[in-house]
Amino acid sequence: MEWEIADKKLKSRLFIGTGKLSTYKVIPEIIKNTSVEVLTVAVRRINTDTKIENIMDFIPENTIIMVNTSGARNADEAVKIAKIGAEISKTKWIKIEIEADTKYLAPDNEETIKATEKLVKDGFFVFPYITPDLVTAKKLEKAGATAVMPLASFIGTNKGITCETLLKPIIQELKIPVIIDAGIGKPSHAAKSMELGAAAVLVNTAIAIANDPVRMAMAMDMAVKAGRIAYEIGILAEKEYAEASSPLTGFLKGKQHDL
Amino acid sequence: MIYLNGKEIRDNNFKTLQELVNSKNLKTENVVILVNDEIVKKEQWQNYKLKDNDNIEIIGFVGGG
Repeated sequence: MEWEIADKKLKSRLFIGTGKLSTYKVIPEIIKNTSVEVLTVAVRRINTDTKIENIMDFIPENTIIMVNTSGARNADEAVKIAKIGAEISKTKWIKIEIEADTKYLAPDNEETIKATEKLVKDGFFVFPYITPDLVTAKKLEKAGATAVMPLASFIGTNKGITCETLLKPIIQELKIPVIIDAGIGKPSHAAKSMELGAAAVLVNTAIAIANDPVRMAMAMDMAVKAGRIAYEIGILAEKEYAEASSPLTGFLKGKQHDL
Repeated sequence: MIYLNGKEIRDNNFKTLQELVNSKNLKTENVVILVNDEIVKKEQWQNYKLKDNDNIEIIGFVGGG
């Protein structure tokens, strides 16, 4: 089922990050074997002296590129990186990633709000990456962010959703889409994110460092679809006591059952 | 002396930014060039005359999350 975000209509609710790939050759295979339409990229100096593969040669045309501002330490640097990236990508989709901490790569929520305000004014579709803080999320919504992207757990830790108590209010209170990004390590994490009501998920490490990135991407794709279906039709409530699934009458002859 | 991506360029026979770019055999639609921290648009590369102490950065996309 299609859904709308920013200026696009998408079929897929799985966004994939292209970091840590051992080869860019898996990128067209992932796109071919999944319903993925959105990839993130980073902005860096290009080595012009040696023959290194350029990622753009591997990204199929019509792929929606979301430029991330990784490397930025503050709002001004993020804005600069965004504007440089937008010169190449045909979208104005920007993932704001501002990290002041190198151990946890924890995003700087305050600088992210500032960068969002500036880039929204310049006509960008802003997808800010944040720790799951409801107050920050509301400020970002007010500033005109296209979506918010709270982490499930820190980048590359593969721990899945470690702060459900903080994520649920964001999903419930915000009108803009909530895209869970970072820390999704297994397909079940992706499915759970969707069951909670996330609009989409962004997965990078779990796919990039998998023994078979293409098959892991396919697994994540299926998990996202499965979780979303369950969310749309309604997740069943948990119960304390058992309720039989099989009938309690018509037992075979033999000993009497005392029920 | 002019600098490219932080390194000195030894053979500086390039008069314009376009000449420097041509020598690098790049797909120009996939790069952005900054000179002294300002984006120089592709249409301006042939007009931009390189001068001493110019700091040129050739920037593009790489894998990222």
